[in-house]
Amino acid sequence: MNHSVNLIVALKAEAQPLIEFFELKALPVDETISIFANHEVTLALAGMGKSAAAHAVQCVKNTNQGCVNAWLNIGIAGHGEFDVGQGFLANRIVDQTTMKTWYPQFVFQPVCRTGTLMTVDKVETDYSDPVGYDMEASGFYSAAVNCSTIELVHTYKIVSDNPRNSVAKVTRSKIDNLIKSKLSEIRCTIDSLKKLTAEVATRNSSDELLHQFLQRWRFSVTQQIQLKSFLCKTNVLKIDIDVESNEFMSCRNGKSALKVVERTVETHWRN
Amino acid sequence: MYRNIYVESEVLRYHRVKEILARYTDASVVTCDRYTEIFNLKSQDFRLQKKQPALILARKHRGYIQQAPAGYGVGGDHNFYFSTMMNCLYDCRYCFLQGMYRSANHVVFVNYEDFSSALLKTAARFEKDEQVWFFSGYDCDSLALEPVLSMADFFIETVSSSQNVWLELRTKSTQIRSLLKRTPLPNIVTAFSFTPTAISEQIEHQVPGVEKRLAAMLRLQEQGWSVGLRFDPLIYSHNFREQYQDLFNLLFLSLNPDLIHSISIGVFRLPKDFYKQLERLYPDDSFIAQPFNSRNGQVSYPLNIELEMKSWCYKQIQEHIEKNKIFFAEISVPDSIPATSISLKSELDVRNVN
Repeated sequence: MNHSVNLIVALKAEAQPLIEFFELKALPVDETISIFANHEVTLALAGMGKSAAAHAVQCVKNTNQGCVNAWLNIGIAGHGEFDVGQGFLANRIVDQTTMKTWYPQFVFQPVCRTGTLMTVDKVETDYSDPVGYDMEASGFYSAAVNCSTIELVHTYKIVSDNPRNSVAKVTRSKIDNLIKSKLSEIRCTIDSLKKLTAEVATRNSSDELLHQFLQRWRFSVTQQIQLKSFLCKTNVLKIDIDVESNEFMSCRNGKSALKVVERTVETHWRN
Repeated sequence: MYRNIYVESEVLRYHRVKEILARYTDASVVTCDRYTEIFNLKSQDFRLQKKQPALILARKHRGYIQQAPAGYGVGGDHNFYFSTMMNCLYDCRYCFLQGMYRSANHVVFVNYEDFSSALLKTAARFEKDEQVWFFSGYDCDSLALEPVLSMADFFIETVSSSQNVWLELRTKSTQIRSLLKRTPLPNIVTAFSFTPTAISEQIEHQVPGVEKRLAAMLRLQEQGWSVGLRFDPLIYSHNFREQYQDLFNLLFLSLNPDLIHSISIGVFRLPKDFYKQLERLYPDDSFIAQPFNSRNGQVSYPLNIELEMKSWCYKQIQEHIEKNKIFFAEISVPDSIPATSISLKSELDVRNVN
């Protein structure tokens, strides 16, 4: 099964250094947003705001059908405490409007600090709490956890402004520099997510043998699930199954072929 | 060991929480309102989380003491269980927790005092000459995190002055220091679970080896503590007789039989839905891939294997220990019992009510 790490980015200034670093090519997809990809990473240029981020997740999901997807929202953020240039992964995301809270789960060692990220509707200039402030994360996260298991959904932000450095001074070139300065942290985080998606993809892989069965006989949806389960067992238990053998030659339908597979597994195990 | 700790804001001020957090100064600590915000979410992957489980410190609000399931007793008049922790440090492939919970994170309910009050209140409902048992270790390992949680230490103290209240600490751990520092109490049984070494190494990941667990049992016995042996689940293999014979010989020739309180036997079994979840999580695991049978909502070995393992193990064990100390966990009753199995099943049923 294929797997991909999907980056959701709000601004072109945030996306450009990533497109260059990962050598991403624009995909000719019929979507309302721009999507770029290479063999391991997909990037969607979402635009600003929660809704745009959620929409981008849906677009990428449509593009990567049948894939094990990890999701990483990358961008700049204000912060009430951290210095400008500090990268951090969100360990709690709070939507300021709804006060709904999410807790991203870390099953890998983060390469940077972690902290709370508050998603706001308007640019935060008071920095009233020692947390990060952005405009996309809650929309991104709530959409992405509907497409993947939560361990594969994360948000990485780089502090662009804080009480000592006004947001008004954040320029396109400053954003470009901030992203470029953290490419190695981004790379490491993507690598961690890649390992996890690869593991899940391997776990869910179906092999050539399944396709042979599906081409030869018709199976109901339930029978297909059973067949996949039994073929998985034959693989794990190292049982050879040959669809050209006499046992299978006499099978007239999927049900009888399924019976033969089941019998083969049980016989092997008991002997 | 924990890199991520979630703490309900309600328990942040607890002394016990402060002590636990002091052990993990490098961990990322995140406060939350209720542990369920993290633990009960739908789209979680138990297997991925098992790589690096987080610790969640929470308060339980009700349901401190539960009636034990049928077949969980070891001779008491009344059986209850309690769980101050959900999930386990270890990673045993047969464990029902993998199918029961969506999350592999470790939830610890830190309000031990509420459990303790409920326990004593429950025990007070019964006559003084009735044995009331409380089993810890149903949803977790009772001792594996003892150096951090001091849970066993607390509950031993709770039952220390009650003659008819019994406490079983079920474990695969060797963390017995909180017991060794005390004077032995007759109403505490530390029950160790075992499978043969080769099986343990294959499917009981991160569990201390058989010999280390035996050494812990011997130290407890030397000090005068009662211990229990739990051969539940029994795991089938083509040479299970040789494997279990070796295990029984090792244990029974080493341990003092007078200080073995009880032995329980139960074949591997899981509720069908839990097993399906395990198939989804571990399709590449050779233990899960075995062609188990399903009957009465439970997945287990074919009935003839189940009965053969139970009866053979029972016969072996009773050569070392009095019959009245041996107990069977719940028996799966099939829709139709093969004629050759009926007599054996009847015998086991009789034993089950002992």
